[in-house]
Amino acid sequence: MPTLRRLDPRRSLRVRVALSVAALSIVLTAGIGLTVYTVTRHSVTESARHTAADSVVVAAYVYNHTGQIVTGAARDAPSAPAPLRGAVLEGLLGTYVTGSQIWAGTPLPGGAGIYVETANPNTHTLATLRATILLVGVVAVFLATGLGVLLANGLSKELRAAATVADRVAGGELEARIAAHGADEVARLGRAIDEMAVALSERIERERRFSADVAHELRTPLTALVSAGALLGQDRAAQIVRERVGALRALVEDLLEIARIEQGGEPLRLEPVDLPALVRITLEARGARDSVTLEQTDGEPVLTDPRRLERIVANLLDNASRHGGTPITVRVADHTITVQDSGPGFPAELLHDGPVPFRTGAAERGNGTGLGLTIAAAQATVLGARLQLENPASGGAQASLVLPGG
Amino acid sequence: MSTPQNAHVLLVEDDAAIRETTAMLLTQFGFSVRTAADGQAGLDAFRSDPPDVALLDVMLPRIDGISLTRAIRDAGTTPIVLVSARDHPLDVVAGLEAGADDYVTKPFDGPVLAARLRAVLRRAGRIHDDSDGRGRLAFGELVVDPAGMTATVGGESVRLTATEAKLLSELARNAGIVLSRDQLLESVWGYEWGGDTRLVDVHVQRLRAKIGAQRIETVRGAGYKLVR
Repeated sequence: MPTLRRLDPRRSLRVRVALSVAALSIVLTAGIGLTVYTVTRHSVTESARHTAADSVVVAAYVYNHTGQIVTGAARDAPSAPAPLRGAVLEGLLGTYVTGSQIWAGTPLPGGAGIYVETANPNTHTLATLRATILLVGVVAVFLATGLGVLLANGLSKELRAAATVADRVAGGELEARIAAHGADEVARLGRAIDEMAVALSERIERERRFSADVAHELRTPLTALVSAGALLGQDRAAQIVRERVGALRALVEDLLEIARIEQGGEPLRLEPVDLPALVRITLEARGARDSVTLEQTDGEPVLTDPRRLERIVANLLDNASRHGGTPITVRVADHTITVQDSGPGFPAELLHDGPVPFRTGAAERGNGTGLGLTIAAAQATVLGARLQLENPASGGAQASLVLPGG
Repeated sequence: MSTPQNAHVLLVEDDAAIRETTAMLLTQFGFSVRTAADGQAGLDAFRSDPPDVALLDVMLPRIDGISLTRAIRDAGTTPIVLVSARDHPLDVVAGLEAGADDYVTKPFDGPVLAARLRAVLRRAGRIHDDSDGRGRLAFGELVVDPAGMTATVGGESVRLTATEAKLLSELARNAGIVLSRDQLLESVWGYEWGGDTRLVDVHVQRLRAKIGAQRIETVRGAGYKLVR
């Protein structure tokens, strides 16, 4: 089964790209905003100082020629800032900014000074500028982050889709493809994964076809062998030939059955099946009606493929009698068929890995084909059923087939 | 058991070992066997002395088994059993659609093969039985004579193979009742368990082509019934 790997959100490319873009845009906007603000404030304040200085020069000129103090100017204003007054007393023209006011002062002949105080016209302008920079900054950060998220989302979505397809291929869904569009690196990665999946499935198909062809080719010589064996007498050598030809034939048929299941060419033939009746007929066909205890509860017929189901039940019974030993109990309840034997139980590696072809766990080879449980599990998958293998506390090995809809 | 004593089997098989061992086995089971090694020789042998039943390999040189089946079917109602090493669905269906009555897959057991041959011969043998007086069954234009294993549509006699005739009789005797594929496999082909339901499906198709498609109704998941 493909396992979908969950991503730790902190390690997700999407989140990391989005956070990086957000941080970068905040730093950039703040830096640019601060620079623009500082430069602007400096330049507008300088221009205001010049205006104030011009005013005080005009006021001093008027005073010197007419003795009048123009409106807005003051002679020896005691409220003027001390540093300005100091500079004026030293005979200098000066300006001084105190928060919202701009002072300008210039010496008058005779040691006094004339001062002009104006409201700093730039306070309002700078406040508007601050608000604008902040607003534009916030909008820019949001836009950049949003764009970053979109971009990262697109990238991350393509990458996650590619990962999902790779997981599906690994899980056995060999026809899964990414079919990437575009020419970027992600699309290239997608195409590379697709090509890998194609190569992989072609290889698997070649090997599957080879084993199916081998089994097919073996049928022709086997046919003559089976017939010739039947024509032999009753001595021990003839019996061994017949018995071994039979084993070879069972192996070839099992290999072909696996090939057919893997090829998937044969459709399911679903019909309502009376499970207890099918189990009874299977037992009778194998001459095992008397050696097996059948426990059944009547239920509704189950919609399934009776031939495949019969194969599964027969293989489970074979397995139980070959490796487990009597008494064997078959329980049929609702959608579940359980076969339990009284042997040593399933080997640990079988419980762990599931059925593996030719890994019988039996000390002596040659009794079965080593494919019975593999076929049972494969047919169960075709039926949409689950085949559970376990060693219950009551002893022995227990195989439960749970058909869908139960 | 009603073994047709010395029933003539024409065995067409290109593999010499299979041809020889199969002939020996069938001889042991009381059949009289003639063999041919390819499709053309098989067709010549069939024309020069028609057998009671033809046993044909599907993969044959010169004329393949499917074409040979069609040629024999065109010439008459001789029962045909196919032998196939390939049980691929398409191979089997193609053989049945060409007119084969039944098939066995390689490798086969002597008793099983003998039983399949006896079953088709029994069906063929009944055609020549005289009607035992039981009534004909009429469904509008379609008249079926189960005892004589014949049918007419609108007064015109329909040429049916023994298998088709037996299948139509089973459906006619149970007209209006749904017969499952497994029931038909048992009553027509003699399979007690494990027959291939495609045998039924393909023969129903062939029967429909001869007596009218609407006369046999498919009941999903259940089987077929003859419409009254």
